[in-house]
Amino acid sequence: MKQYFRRLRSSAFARFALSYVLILAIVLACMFAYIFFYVEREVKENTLNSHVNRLSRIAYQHEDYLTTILNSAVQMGLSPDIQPFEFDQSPQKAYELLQQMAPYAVTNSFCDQMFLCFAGDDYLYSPSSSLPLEMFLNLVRYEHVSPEELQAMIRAPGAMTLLPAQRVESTLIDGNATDMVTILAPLGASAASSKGTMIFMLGEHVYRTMFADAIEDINNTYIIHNGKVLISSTDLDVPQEVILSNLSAGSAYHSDAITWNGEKWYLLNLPSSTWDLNYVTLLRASAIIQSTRRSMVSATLLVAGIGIVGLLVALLLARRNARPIREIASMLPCKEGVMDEFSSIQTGIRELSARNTDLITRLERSLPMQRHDFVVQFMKGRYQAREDVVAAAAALGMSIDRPYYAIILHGMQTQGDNQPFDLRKPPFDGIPGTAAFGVELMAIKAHLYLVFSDTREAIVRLAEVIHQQSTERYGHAVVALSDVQTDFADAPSAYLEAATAFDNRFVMDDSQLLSYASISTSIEDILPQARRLTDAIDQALSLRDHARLSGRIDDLLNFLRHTNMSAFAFRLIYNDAIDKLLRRHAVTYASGQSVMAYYDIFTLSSCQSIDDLDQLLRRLCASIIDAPVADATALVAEETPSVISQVADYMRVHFADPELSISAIAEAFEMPTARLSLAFKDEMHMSPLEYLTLLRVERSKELLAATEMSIKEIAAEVGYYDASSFIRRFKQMTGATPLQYRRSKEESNDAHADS
Amino acid sequence: MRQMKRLFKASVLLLCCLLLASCAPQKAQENTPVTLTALQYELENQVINFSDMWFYDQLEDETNVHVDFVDVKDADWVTRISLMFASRNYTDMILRGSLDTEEYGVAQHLLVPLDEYLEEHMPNYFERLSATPVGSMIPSSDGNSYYIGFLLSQNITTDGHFFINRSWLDKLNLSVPTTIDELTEVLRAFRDGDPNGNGLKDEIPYQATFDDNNTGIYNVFSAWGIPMNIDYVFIHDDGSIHFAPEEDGFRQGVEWLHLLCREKLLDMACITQGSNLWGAKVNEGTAGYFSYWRLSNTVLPAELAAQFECMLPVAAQGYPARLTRLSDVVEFGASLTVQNKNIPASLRWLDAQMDTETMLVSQNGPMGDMLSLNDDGRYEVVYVPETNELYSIVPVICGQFFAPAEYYERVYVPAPHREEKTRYSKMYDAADVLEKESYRTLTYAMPMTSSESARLLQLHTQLKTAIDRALVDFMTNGVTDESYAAFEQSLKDIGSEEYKAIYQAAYDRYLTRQEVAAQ
Repeated sequence: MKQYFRRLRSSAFARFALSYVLILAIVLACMFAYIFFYVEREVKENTLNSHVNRLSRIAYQHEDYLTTILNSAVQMGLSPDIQPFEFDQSPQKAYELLQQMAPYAVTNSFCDQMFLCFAGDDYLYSPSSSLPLEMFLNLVRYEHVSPEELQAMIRAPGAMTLLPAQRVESTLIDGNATDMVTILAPLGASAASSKGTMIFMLGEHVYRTMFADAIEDINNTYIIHNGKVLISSTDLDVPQEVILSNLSAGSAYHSDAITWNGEKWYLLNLPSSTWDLNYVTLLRASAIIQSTRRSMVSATLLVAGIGIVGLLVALLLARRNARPIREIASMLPCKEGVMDEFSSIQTGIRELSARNTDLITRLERSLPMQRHDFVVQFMKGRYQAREDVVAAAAALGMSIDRPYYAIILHGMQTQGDNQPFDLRKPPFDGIPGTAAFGVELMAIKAHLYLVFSDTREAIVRLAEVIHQQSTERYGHAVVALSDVQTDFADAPSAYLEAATAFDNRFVMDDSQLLSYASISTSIEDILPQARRLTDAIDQALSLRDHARLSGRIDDLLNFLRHTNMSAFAFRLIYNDAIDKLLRRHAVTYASGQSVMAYYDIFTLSSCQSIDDLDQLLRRLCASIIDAPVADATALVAEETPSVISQVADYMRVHFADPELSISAIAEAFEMPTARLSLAFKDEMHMSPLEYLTLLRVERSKELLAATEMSIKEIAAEVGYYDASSFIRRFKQMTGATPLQYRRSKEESNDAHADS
Repeated sequence: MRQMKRLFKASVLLLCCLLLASCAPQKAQENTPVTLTALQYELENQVINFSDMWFYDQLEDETNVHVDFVDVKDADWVTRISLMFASRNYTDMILRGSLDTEEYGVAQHLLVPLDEYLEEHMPNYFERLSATPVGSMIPSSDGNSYYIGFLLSQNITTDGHFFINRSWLDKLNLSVPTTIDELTEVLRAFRDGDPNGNGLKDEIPYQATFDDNNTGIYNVFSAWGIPMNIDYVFIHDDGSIHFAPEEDGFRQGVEWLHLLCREKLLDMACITQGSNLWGAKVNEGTAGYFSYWRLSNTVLPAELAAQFECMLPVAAQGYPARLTRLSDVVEFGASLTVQNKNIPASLRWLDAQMDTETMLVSQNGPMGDMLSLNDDGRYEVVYVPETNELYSIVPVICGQFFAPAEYYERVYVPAPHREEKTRYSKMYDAADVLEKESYRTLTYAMPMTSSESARLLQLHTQLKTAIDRALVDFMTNGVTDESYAAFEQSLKDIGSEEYKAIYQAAYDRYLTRQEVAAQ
């Protein structure tokens, strides 16, 4: 049993049920209290009030009738058209009188009979007939008034007289016999000046209608005049004398409790303010008590009914509310010894909360990593559709669904803080409509910012702000910007554009923003001029003219400084220039040993900027111009084709083979791959792969310019399995996509044709 | 879920029922219960709720038509009709009483023209209507019938007949007078001969009321060939409309009345007394001569009634006796308002009351206790309640009834008191003392336009006042050339010619229509 109660106490259902039932019990208790304390009094008051209202209505209607009757009598008495006459003398006037009385008959239509009798005349007149007074007295028989008394009242009109209701028999009256209240009024303003008497007879039905109402209580209603009951409506068998003897005086409504026949009664008395009338209702007290009890029982049953329904609803609600709690409790890890479902939930939630906090922390920590992955995946073009990109970004809290985007590369500093800028904070957040995400690219020692924006200008502006901030903070900045893109599928291209621009930091003015858009797209536009300037240096060398040489070197360097070219183009140009100068002048001058030092791969690879080239070129030229003429044979011997040259030749023949790889070449020449690469790079100053790419790109350029083959066909023709790899390599190498290259060539051709 | 299934099943079942109901034949629709509202005319002395009446419960069982009655007393009837149409809140039907079909049907189009429905939906009524010429009274001025007629034809041709105290005549050894002079002498003998034998000179030879054709002094003018009635116009034998006070014998009639008053041969109180007082006075046994509807089953006790006998109207020298004639007139039975959306059902309910047995039950009470079918196939009254008890059982004259004379005679054996009245009527008809065509043709048979009716009402009120005042004056003070000339002039000034002309025009239209119908 103890365990049962313990289980019950720990049940969510029991708790809910108990709570609801408790609330219900309080409400019901209040209702019961109200019933017991107020209903009894209110029912009694309402019952008495309804009877008083009824009495008031009866009084109003009855006195309205009396007033109408009195006014009719006064008006007829004062009317000049109604003058006394004797029928026998002036029967014609009787006819006229009937016409005069007709309107009053309408006014007093509630009366069953209306008669006029002039003083001194023996006739009575109604609106429709006339009859002798004697005949009237014979034909109209009152139950309690003798003909003589009636005649006396008619003959000697005093004040208004009300004869209590009594049976009146007459053939003149419809139905022959009925209860009537008779009112005799002087015909004129007063008894003294009256011309006769008016007789108004009101049938019992008039009062029956008056007494009729919706109150169903059994009661007696009396209209009392001058200490006598004028008319009554009786349901209760109580003698009139009891009423009259217990009627207390007073000018305003009052109710008296009287006792008769051992029973308690309520006597409601409403005295008239204008007439000597009392309107009285007799009620059985027990009826009111019974009515009160009925009301209380009804109210109690109603409340009990509400209580039962409420209890069922409470249990239903408790069950409904407890069920999910029980289910939740069962889902949560329940610790042993915890019996209470709420405690179980509490403990479970705490545990889950702790786990969740841990999870959130871990998730938050991994968020930058995920964002980094996203940016990398985005740049690799791994998403199939724009919606996928947006959804993936949104999952990481990145809002990228904007029309424009670009990639900014910001070179890392060698010293100090190498964290990428937080573009969500000032001053970067002042550029509206942009969302940027930064990652570190350790391979190229740069921070990459993937910028999404509503406008192109905002992206450029952000890149400029990064450049400005970097300059201010570190005194130097390398910031490269790709073209502004719209299609997310072009993300790899955008990266290559940014990387190309970033690579040009050595050959371009990196005090400004390195924008891919400003890089020259074709080496062919630069190389002829560079060769002409190299030829000028060659001539100066041949003439051994120092001044001229310096000027020609300046010319070349100035040209290069003012030409936006890719690093690759820069390398080809200076390689071409060095190669040309050495081949020409190493044979001529016997300084080959020192001059050839410039063919050292490390020397050449250290030339990464125009300033480096300036120094290298001037040292080389100085070596050549100052060196004695040497034996050319040494160099000739050097020109014997090496294995690398054979490899290069092999590659020139087979570059279109997509199966051609460095490992395949190494195998063909029976050399380890690594050794081949090193030897190749030593001799050719570029890796075998770069050489292969160069061959393929150069061939593709020819095909692009000379044929109408598609990009895909050309890619296959020059040894690429898929067009996208070709496009990326082509752009990396030339700074332009194949299509852009083809268009530029077409425009160039058109220009030549026009000229 | 289970409850939902139950609900769904119930809905499907209900839908099927509704579909079946909609596919049911037309007959089923006729039996569809219908509830109608009706404004029901009620006599002043009736205290019956028509909705609770046994007769209508049975009718509802028979027709499947339930009627919610709005009972309206006679005194309120016209007002209630006006209010109802003014308020635009009509009941479906209007039953009995009277109705200005010219105004509400022709002018305001608030009543349903019924002609096209009668043959199909009221076969009982249609058959009887087609078989009687009085049916031509029903169509309004636009030719449409806006109401179902009420016709109770009992071969009664006269309102008040003349009765003379036979025992007094015998006592005084007098014969029934046939001329105005003989009547004067008889009345004088009654006054002076103490025929009631009480030793008092309390006899009132001629007891009358004033302005009616039952007990009123209007009947006096029949002696001078004037069928004086409450409308003061009558149709002369030559088809022209005559205005009674302008007739040659009218002055002589007035002068004779003055003679009666002067010589106390007539109760002077006749100018003011009503029918109740008249009855009370006659019952005192002081009257020797009067006009009245009949003797049995009236206010007169049987022993008193037995003293009297019916006599033909007397005639003045040079004049034929001409008393007003009652004719079968079709009264207002029922109308349907335009609000009624169940016209066939309404007419079916009305026609069910026209079934012979149902109709006679509605007049006389239920079969068995109060009505029976005798061996010759006619219905016969078994018991007539003395008081108004009958009205609490059946609608009597407040119900629907259409019985032309020939048909009524074929199916119904009249009660003895009604036979008495028929006997007197035949007696007067045979003696040719009645006007040829009843003045009631002018008021019941002839459709008047609304403006004509309004003008006639206006003129009638003024003319009646002038005539009645003059009568009282002449009876009291006598007649002089000047006073009579002034009287005649006053009638002309009021518009007696116009009054007569309106009736003449309407009567001419009526005759033309009758001719067209005959062709």
